[in-house]
Amino acid sequence: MPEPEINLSALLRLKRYEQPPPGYFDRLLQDVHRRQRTELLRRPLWKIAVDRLQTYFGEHSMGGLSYAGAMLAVLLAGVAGIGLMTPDLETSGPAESRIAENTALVTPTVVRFTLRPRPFSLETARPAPAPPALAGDRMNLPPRYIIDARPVSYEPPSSL
Amino acid sequence: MQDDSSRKQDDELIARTRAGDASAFDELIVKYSPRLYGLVYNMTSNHEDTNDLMQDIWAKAFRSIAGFRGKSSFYTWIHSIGVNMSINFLKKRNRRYHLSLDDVDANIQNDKEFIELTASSTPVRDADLAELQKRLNEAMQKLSHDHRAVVTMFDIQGMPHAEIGKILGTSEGTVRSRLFYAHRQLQNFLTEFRSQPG
Repeated sequence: MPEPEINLSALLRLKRYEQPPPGYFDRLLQDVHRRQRTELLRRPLWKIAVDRLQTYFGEHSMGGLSYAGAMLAVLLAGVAGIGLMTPDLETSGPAESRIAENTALVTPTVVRFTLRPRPFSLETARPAPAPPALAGDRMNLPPRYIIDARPVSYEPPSSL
Repeated sequence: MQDDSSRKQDDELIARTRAGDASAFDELIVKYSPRLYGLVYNMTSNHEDTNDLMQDIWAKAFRSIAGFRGKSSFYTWIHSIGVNMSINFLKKRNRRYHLSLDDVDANIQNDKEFIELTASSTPVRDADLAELQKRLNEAMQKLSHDHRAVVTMFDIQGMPHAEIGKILGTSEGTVRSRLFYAHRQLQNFLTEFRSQPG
């Protein structure tokens, strides 16, 4: 006598009754809380930022190549920007420096140079003209500052 | 399948979670853990592995919820995370599964299919049914991860083909063909078992 056909679908549907031990889901919530606290204490901020970026690009269905392309574009834009802002420097000795003619903004983190000490004129409140020895220098303009204030180093020492 | 009111409730809970209300995320955990557990357990057939994965899944969901744009429902999203993490876990580790058939919900006694299968007019009795279930679980482990996933979601959890396709990122046609193949494999394995002597 042939075996009756096994009702596979019915057997599979009965598997939904396979449950975890009693109280499991209450303990799960506590375990998840514990893990969240641990992760918050342990995770560095940069990792959180990377995860957020990955999730953002993932949600927008950007493939891995698109993501890499976007990052490369940002990097190239940054390098180009730094290149444009970097002044053209020429050094002729350890104690001398040149200041770019059209440098609008000079930041210590981008350009490193040593200001050539100049005598300060109290009458004009401007740095004195360059000494004759430097007349042939291509860049002999006075330094420009973001705030039109005297550089601290040029102020005459106060005598009390 | 989710209805509109459930989806609206989820949207509200997600908004509250993003605003910093941790209890809102707890409500999502309580709401979806039973179904998610069923999905992961039937993929791994191991309670301990399932427990570890459940925590990993919710930890990932919590980290990623700020980036959840709502293109799909939270239901689909969390199940996608669950399936992907389960498959990745199975690929990395080759665990022997330890089934515990004692952990069967008491409501099974009222299930129509269970009653039909164990009725005196059919050759299947309780003991036979338990043995068949055990063999079925073994057969499930022989399926590939992708086939096991579709059988779990369609046959065990009752999800429609379209929803499964969204979760797996495949077409409905692919889901149907995987199901057809998986059913044939399972049927062959169980028929072999039934035809063995003794």
